[in-house]
Amino acid sequence: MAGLPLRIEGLTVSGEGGRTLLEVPELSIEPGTAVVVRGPSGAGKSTFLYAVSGILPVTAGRILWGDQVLSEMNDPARAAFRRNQVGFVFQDHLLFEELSAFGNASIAALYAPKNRRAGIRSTGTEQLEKLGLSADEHRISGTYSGGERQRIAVARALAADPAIVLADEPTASLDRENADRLADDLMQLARDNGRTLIAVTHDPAMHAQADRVIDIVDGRIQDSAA
Amino acid sequence: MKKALLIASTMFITTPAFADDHKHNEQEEHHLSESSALRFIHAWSRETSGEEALVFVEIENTTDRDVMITGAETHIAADVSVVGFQMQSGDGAYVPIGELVVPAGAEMDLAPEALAFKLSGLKEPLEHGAHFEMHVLSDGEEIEIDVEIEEADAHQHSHAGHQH
Amino acid sequence: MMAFWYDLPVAVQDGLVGLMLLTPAIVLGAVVLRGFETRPLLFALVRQQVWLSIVFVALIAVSVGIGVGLIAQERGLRQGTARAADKFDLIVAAPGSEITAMLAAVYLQASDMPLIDGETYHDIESHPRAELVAPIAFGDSWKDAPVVGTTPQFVVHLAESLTEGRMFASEEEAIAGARVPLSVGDEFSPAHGVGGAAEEDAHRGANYTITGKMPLTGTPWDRAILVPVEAVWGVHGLAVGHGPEWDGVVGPPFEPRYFPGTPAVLVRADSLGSTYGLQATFNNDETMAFFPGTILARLHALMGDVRQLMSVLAVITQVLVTASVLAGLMMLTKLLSRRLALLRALGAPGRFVFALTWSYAVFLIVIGAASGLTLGVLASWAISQAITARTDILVQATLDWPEIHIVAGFISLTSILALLPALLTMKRSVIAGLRG
Repeated sequence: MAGLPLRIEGLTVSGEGGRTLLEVPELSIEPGTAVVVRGPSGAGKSTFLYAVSGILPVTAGRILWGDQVLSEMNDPARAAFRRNQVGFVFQDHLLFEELSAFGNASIAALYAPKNRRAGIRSTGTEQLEKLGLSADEHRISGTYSGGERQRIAVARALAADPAIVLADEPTASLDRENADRLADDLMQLARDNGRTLIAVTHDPAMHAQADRVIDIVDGRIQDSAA
Repeated sequence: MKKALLIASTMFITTPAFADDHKHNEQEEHHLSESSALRFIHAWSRETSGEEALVFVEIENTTDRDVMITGAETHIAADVSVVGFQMQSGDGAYVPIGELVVPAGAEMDLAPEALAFKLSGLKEPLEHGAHFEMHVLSDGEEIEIDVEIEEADAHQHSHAGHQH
Repeated sequence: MMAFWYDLPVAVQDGLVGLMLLTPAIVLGAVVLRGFETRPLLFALVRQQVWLSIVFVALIAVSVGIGVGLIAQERGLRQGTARAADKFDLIVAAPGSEITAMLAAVYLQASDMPLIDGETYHDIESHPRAELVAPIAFGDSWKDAPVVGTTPQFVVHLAESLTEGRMFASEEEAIAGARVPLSVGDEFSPAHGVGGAAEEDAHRGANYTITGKMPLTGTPWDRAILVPVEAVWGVHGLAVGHGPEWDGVVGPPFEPRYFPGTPAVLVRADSLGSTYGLQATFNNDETMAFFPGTILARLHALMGDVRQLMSVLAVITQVLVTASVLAGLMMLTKLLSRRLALLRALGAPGRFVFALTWSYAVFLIVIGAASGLTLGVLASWAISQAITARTDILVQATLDWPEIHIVAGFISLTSILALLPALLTMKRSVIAGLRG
């Protein structure tokens, strides 16, 4: 699915007790762009990711993906948006370790409408193969190495052919070699079909490959061109 | 209630026992019916909305010869038969026994888990507190007995123990 | 509609009731799970929390098992005691407690009872409707086996045919029940009384030879030794029921003048109606006549009230256990909250996460209930074996509809209760869940 443009206007996300976690007065990201978000710990990078994915409701302002106003959607609509448009890669892979690589990669098929299930399963298998993993149905994910598990997580993010790929510190738990390989794979696969990629990362290898780098300091966007 | 009992007691065809030495007041006398050979005391049944009901009654043979009960009928049921309780391979059941002989001078107690008149094809539900008439055929006589309907789980007539 | 229902075979009615009781769970399952494939994730979650799942299943199984076992056991006991009384149509004894007389004459639980005299016995024996009249003269014993004096006709009535040997023909011969450790040809000397009160030497010199064995009947008579009633009288130094010119052939007719008495008499009439007629005749000032079946049915009716109480208690226990299991499940869903939050972060519909949590709870409940059913039947079977060994009353505990109905109702009720932890998982914050 081709990438979507992101537009943010006057965004505020507050936490418990009204403390402001994130403020983004204005931000636009072109479709098909690979963006890296960086900043010190606790600066609000993950909050940004959770806000633009709709996991976290906004306190004020607007988030638009194309012509869809995410910030005005209710919970079920935001969940539907995520399942149809967003692929997510988490820091420590977060797999169902008792399922096979294939089971994890195609997990969306379990709750997708019937007519999409076969597509998700074949794309999941395809992505696993592209990432150098076989879709062995009998081997549970818990037996794979850390690098392999994170690649399974990437396959899962791409299986439903999303327009947007979001990644939260995808290489943080990996050694250098695996981190580099994952960074390459993620950048390349996310750019296939012109997807929009937003990755929160400290990894210089990913910064180097990004189209654009956004800095967040103390909950505020300090936009800087790549 | 009183009225119903009075009406019931005035509806007898055969000779209800208005014995002179009767110790109870007149409202209770419908608990007793008598033919020339048999006395029927405390006829009762149980509340039900089903198709079948059992009627229990104490029968006394006041003669010195065996008296046969050949049948019974009531307007509220399609059929009345005499049944006896029997254990069959561990389960109890009431089975038809045809004619019932009340031995000379004996008291026969038609009671739960023993003998009973079985009404089949009940035409109306039996309600606690109500009465119905039943006619027992014995040696060419027809004796009318008044059956009182007790609670669904009753084990005896509510007047059991009274000596009419 | 009701008429149609009553016309159905009982098994079909029972099956339909079971299905009706299960319907809420089935409908709920169909609605909750519609459009989703929860199975792979369900098994993944169970595997992840395998020990906790086993503990929950075991808890449910034990509580359901107790309920099922109690009900099956009670029914087995009821049917077993009733079967043991099958051969005893009408018992005539001296007036007293019907239950004591029944326990003594049918179940051979010895007790001192007044005797029926020869005249009365003769009246019973000569009744035109009486087909079989036999004395049951208990009181002596050999080791644990009651020695009962009676007639060859009674032995035939009780055992139908012998598995070995022949009928006793003289005062020195005896027939052994299937569980008596004596074989044809063995000799024994009876004691006066039974159990601890037995006087071993009272009948010194009296010896019996076993001439036949009865088949297994599943009643206390399997442990009994049957001897001619003449012999019982004889060893007590009484007249033997026959006059001086007796030819030595045991059994009826007895002469009233020489009939010392018997504590109980078994009477079998030519029809059920006649048996009731005989009962009416011999229920008088001198004798009482009763149907063991009627006494049992009344006892069972009394037990029926206890049974209802037990069923209610069993259901309450099950519901309490389920409530604690559900409380446990709520904690368990906390353990699973990271996985459930992940699903929601990935965009799984809330209803899917709800369905997954619910099916997890119901999976444990169904497995637990099914294991409980098996456990209950096994426990009941073991207890039945113990009762049979102790009383010789064959108690068979089998699975029947009432237990299945209880379990079906239990599954439906708890699957409704399981909506609660499932609802609660929806209330948890995804972010908090993801951060574990």
